[in-house]
Amino acid sequence: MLRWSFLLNRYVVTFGTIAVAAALWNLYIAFNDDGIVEGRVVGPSGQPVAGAEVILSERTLLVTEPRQRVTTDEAGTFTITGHRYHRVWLKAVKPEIGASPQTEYRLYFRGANLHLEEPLRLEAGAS
Amino acid sequence: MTRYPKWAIHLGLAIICTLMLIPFYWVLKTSLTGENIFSYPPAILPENPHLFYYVDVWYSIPFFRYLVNSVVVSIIVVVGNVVLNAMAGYALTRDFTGKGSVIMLFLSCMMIPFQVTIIPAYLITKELGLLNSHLGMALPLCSTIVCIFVFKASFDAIPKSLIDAARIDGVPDWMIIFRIMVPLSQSAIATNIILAFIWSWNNFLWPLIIIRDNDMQTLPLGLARFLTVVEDTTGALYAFCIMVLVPGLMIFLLAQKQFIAGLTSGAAKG
Amino acid sequence: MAFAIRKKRTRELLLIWFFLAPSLLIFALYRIIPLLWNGVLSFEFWSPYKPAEFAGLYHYEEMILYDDVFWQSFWNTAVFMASAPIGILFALVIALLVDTPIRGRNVYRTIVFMSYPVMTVAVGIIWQWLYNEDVGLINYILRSLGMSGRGIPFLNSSTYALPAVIVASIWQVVGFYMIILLTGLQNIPQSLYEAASIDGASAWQRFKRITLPLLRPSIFLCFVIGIINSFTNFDLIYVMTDGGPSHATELLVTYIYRVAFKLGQFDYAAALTIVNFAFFVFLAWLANRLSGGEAGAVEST
Repeated sequence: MLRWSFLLNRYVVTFGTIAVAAALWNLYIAFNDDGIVEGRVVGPSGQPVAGAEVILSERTLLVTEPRQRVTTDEAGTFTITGHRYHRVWLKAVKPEIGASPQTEYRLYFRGANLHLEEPLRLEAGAS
Repeated sequence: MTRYPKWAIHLGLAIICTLMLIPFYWVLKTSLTGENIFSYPPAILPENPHLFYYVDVWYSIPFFRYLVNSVVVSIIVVVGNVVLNAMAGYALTRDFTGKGSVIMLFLSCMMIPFQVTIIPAYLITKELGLLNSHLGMALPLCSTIVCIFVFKASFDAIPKSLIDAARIDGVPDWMIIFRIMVPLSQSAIATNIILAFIWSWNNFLWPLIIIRDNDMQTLPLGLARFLTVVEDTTGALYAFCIMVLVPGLMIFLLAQKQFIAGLTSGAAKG
Repeated sequence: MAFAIRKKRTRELLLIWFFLAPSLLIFALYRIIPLLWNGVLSFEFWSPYKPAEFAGLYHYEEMILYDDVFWQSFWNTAVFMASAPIGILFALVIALLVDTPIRGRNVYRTIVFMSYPVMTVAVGIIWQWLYNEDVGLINYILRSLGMSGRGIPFLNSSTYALPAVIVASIWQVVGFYMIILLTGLQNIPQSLYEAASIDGASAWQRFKRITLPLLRPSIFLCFVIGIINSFTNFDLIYVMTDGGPSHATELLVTYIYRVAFKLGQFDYAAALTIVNFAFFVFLAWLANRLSGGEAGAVEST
């Protein structure tokens, strides 16, 4: 017991805490970096929209480049898997109804799972 | 000595400390701010603070690589300093012919600022094939004259009789060093570690000269070159700045006493 | 017997020199040889791609007679140096304040000192941001106080750039001055003050007659540090202005770097270095002379 008491100084405690925090953070990342984006698409009046195309884009230096596209199911939900970005732009389009504004979502690490609380709302007339 | 009421002194110091801390605060605020950085008037408190600029830094440059480079160089410098300075300091406690000239040599070397040696030092490093390497960055800092004298003073303070007694008992020299000298000069070692660390951690000019390879950059180099690498990411620059400041400040705050002791003992030496 | 003692003595000597050798080697490689090499180089035409040729005083002539930038950086270095007393004065006030027996003085000391061990590159970036023309804090304050209608581009104006850099430099180093002065203050025996009080000396008289004279070595030490600082403060200038605008903040050290590593004129830069070093040694000697040999040099790389 006494032999380890020399470890109880502020250097060991400080750096130990940092190391533990870093390890925990990396553990958290390891379990949450599947690159899953889940969300819903709704129309102007709030009803779920099936068959809308959701485009995930990455911003390169000047322009946003579409990287993945998925289509919503009957309940208006969509799931994107396997993105590898720490900033994603999402946009939903359904030609007959309209499009949602392209919105940026910033993530804490590359490929972080993202569950959209707010649905992507299509606006009539926009494209 | 007090002529002023205490509250006046507190007030004066509080104002001074605020002035000293404002620059830190301003950069911290900018690195956290959620609003448009370039809107006028600037907000005093960060609005919608977020940590995403830090994420941007992490991915837009090889931050971890720079950190590792800085740490590796610092470790080489710290180990080199403690070992070489202790050895030299120990040698200077013994009597030998030429001791006076060696001390004179050290003292006059102290008068040569590193900055006036950069050109030939660069050429020498090139000849040694150490450009773009950790060792090349660390080598010039691996022994510091101030710290040699700190060690010498500390060894001189150890009673001669203790060492002589050990020597008569037939204890070998290396054991005398590790069992008697080192434990008794802990404060000199601590001083040297912290000084060497801060010097190497903050060193900029030398890496700037000898590092061409992007993979070998240390944190200060990365910080200075960040602007030219990434335009449009002002917030990230200040986040990077904070990320670079924190380790140095943390170690300073942990070892403040030794650091100040080292600086003042270095400053008092003639 | 005598032989054995001699042998032991030889072994000891070997050990001593073996212990000294690494440090000596490093200082030889990175201090002594470079200095001599600089001297040689400054009398030659030399570049990494062509063999050396004797140049005599060509570089020195060029520098002193024709190189305006050299003189500009020379004066800038002198101005930088001349600003040291401002910082020392501030530091003296702070040191006197934190030397009083009040609560929390260690916290105050730490805060004031904290800017010193900070990486100078970061200091440059911090201050660059404070000086920003549009949204910098300093311009914001000036504009709020109505002292300036538009933002002042501090670091891009040839009038304000050098003072602006000097302010940043003072901010960084003032804590170090304070620590040195504080150490000096604490070494003044309290009994002197008590004796003076009994003799009816006023606080100002005590300060003038006791504190200042006894603090002289510390103040001189601060000066020496200020001098060294003006010769070595490369990082701050490089980050904040890179010597600009049009060499308004060029110091000798940044100019040497530019000539050697941007323009590739190693020989000319070596001559600049020699002049720089001679200037430095002269000032250090002068400071030492004026202080009666009390102030020492300090390592500050």
